[in-house]
Amino acid sequence: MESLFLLIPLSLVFIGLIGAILYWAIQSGQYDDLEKPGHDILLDDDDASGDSRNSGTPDQ
Amino acid sequence: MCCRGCAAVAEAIVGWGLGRFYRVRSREAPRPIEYSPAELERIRVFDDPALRGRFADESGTGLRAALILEGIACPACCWLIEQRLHELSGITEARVDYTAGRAQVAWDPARIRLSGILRAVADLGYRARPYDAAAARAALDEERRAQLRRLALAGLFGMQVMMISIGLYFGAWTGIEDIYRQFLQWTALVLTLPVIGYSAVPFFRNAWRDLRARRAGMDVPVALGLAIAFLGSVYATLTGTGSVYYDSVTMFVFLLLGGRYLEFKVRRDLSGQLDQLRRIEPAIATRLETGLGGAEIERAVPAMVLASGDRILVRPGEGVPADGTVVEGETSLDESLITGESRPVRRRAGERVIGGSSNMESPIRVRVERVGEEATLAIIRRLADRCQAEKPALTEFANRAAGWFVGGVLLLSAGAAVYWLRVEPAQWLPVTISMLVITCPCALALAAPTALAAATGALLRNGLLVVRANAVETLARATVFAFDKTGTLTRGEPVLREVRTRGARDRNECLRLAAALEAGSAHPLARAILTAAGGVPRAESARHFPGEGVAGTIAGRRYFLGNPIFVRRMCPAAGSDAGGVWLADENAVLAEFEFEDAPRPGAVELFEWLHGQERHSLILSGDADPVVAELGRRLGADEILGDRLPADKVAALEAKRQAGDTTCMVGDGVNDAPVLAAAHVSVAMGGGTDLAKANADLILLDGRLESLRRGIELAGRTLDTIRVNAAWAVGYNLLALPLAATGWVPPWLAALGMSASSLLVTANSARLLRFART
Repeated sequence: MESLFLLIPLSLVFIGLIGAILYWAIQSGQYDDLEKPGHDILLDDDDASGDSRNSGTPDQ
Repeated sequence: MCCRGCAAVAEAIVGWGLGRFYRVRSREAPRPIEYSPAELERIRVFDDPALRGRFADESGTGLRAALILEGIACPACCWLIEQRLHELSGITEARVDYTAGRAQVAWDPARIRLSGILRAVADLGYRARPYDAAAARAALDEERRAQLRRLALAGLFGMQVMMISIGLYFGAWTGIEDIYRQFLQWTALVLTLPVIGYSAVPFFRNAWRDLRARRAGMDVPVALGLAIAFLGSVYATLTGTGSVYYDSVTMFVFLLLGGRYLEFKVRRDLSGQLDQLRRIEPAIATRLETGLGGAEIERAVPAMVLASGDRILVRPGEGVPADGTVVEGETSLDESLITGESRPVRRRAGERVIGGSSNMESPIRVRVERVGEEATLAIIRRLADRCQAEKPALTEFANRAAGWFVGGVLLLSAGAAVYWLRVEPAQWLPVTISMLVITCPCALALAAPTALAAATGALLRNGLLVVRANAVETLARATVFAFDKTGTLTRGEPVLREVRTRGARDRNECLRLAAALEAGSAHPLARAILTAAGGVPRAESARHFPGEGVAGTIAGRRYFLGNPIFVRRMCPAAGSDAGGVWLADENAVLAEFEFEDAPRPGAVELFEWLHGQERHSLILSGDADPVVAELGRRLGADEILGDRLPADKVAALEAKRQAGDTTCMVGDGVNDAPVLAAAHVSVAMGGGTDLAKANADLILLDGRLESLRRGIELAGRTLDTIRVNAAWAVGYNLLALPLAATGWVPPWLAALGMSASSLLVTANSARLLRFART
C-alpha cells in the first residue's frame, strides 16, 4: 500500500497537466462553436466559388 | 482580409474609431475592475458627440442608450446596478434586464457623460459597454469561455475528489489505517482547493456583493453552504476528527455551474431571434453612381454611408441594405425575418422594400429612402430592445418574493443548526449544508423571465413584435377585444361584391368588358374589377377621365365605365338610379358594379375563436352604422358600435374597464393612438412604415389576423407556463425544506435537487420556443 504515496502525487501531476491542456483548449476557442466546424468539412470545396462571386464586383 | 466585403466592414469600423475593439479584449479581472489607461481612453470614445448617434438615441431632454453587461449572475446583480445608477446625478432612468444581460439608461448629457456611467458600473465589478452588435458577441463569447473554464475545472477535479472519497467511504466501512485516511483526506483537500478558489469564486463574489448591498440574494445561501462545508472539512482534516464533505462541495459547485451554463445558453438562444434581426442587415451595398460621360457605374460602399436619395443595385441572393422604393426591375423578396411572413413577397417598380429583406429572384434597382436609425429594421430593433430592458410586473414580484424567501431560509437554517448542535452534534453540519443548498430560490427567480423571453422570440417568429414588457401577460388576461374596422378588420381596399346586370348581357361578359376598359389602371376600384375578372384583352383607345370614369372601344363598339353622373353624360339613355359604378354602351346601361371593403382573411376565424374562448369581441368604428353593422354580422361580433368619434371609442373602452374587464384594442397604430392608449393592452397593425409612431404594446408586423390569434394563444400558454414554473419552484422548496431540516437529505442530494429544479424551469420555458407558425 506504500505505493499510494507515490502514485497519488503522480496522478495529481497528471491532473494538473490535463487541466492546463483543457484551459488552453478553451482559451484558443476550441469550444466556441460546436456546430459549424462539423459543417466546414463538407463545405470546404465550395468556398472558391463564393469568393470569386464577391471579387467579381466591379469597383471603378 | 478575404474579400472586398470584409474590407468594407473593417474600413467602416475603424472609420468610427472602434478599431480598438479588436485589440482590447476583456479578461477575467480582479474586482473592482481597474481600467488601464488604454481602456479609459476607449471609454472616452463613447463621449464623442459625432459617434454618439451609433449608440444613443435622443429622448426628450437627454440621451438614451442600451448597455451590454458582463458578469451578471442573478437578478440581484441587476438590482444592484440599478440602485447605483439611480444614485448618480444626471441619470434619469436606469433599468437592467437579467435575461438579455443588458441595461437601458437615459441621462442628461450636460450633467454626466456616458463614460462616467460606464465607470460607475465598472466600480461595482461589472463591465458595461454601449450596445453594439460586434462588441456584444465578443462579450458573450468571453463570458461563455469563462463559464466553461470554471465548469471544466470543477468537473475534472470533482471527479478526482469523488474517486478519493470512494476510498475513504470504503475505509470507513472496512477499516483503514489512520495514516492512509489522513493522506487521502489531504489529497482531497488539495484537489478541492482549486474548485473553491477558482470555480466557485462567482458565488462568493455575488454573495459578498449582496451582503454589502444589505440584501439577501440567491447566492448568499449557496456561498454560505459551500463555505461551511469546506471549512468544516478542512477542520476535520487538520484535527483528524469528524467527517469530510469535499465530494459534496465539488459536486455542488459542478452542478450549479452546469446549471448556470445551460441557463446562460438557453438565455442566449432565446434572444437569438432578435440577434438575427441585428445580423441580417448587409454591411456593404452596391451604389450606382454617374461616372464620366454620364455612364452608370457600380461602386461597393459600406451600407452605413448610404444616404437617402442614393440609387443602389440589389442582386439576387443579396440583402437589401436600406428601406427604399424599387425604381427598376421586379423580384420576389424574403421578408420573413422582419415581418414573420414566410412566403416571398412580390415587389415591382414603385413599391417599397424593407432593409434587411433578401432578394430571391432577379436584380432590382432601388432608390434609398430611409437609412440608419430611421430604417424599419432599426426601429423594430429599438422597440424590441426597449421591451427587453423593461421589467414586467411578474418578474419584479418573483424577485421580491425570492429576496424574502432567502431571508427566511437563512433564519430557519440558523435555527436548525442550533437545534442539531444541541441534540446531535455530529448532524448539524450536513443538515445545515443541505438546507442552505436545497432552498436556493433560483427556480422561482427564473420562472417568469425565461418564459417571457421564450415567448417574445416565438411571438416575433409569428409576426407579432412585443414592444412593452407587460404586454404578453395582459394579452393573455384580456377579456374584451375591441377592433377598429378600416385597415384592421378590412383591408381598406375595395373588393367587387356584386354585378347587377341591366341588359341582355350576362354577368361574366359585363365583367370582361369592364376589365378590358380598366386594364393597366392603378385606381383601387379598377384593381378590384381586374382582380375579379382575371386576365382579359385590353380595350382599344381607352380614355381616362380622372375622378369620373373611362371610355373605350372594344370590338368596334364604344363603352363607358364610371360613376353614374359620368355614364349618364356619355349615354343619355341611362336612367337615374343608385350609386356604384356603371357600365354602359352608347344605348343603355349594361350593369352596375357594387363594391365593398371586404374583411381580411382570417377575420371570421379570429372572431369565431374569440367566441369559443368566451371572450367578448367588439367592433369600434368611425364609419357609418349600417356598413359597420353589416360587417359585424358577417364576422359574428358580440357588440358593434359604429359612428363613433375617437373620444367615443375611448369612452366605450373606459366603460368596459369600469366593468372590470381587461381590454385589448386592435387598431391602426397612428390614427387610433389615443384609443390604443385607453386599453389595457393594444395591438397595432404594422404596415411596415409607421412603426416609430405606432404607440402600442404589440405590433402585428405581417398584418395577418391569423398571427394575432396565434399570438393570443401563445400569450395564454406563456402565462400557464409561468404559473406551472412558479408552482413547481414554490412546491419544491416547501417540500425540500422540512426534509432537509430533519436530516433526511444528504448534502449531495440537495445539490442535485436544487440544480434539477432550475433546469426543469428553464427547459419548461424553452418549450414555448417551439410554438412556431404551422
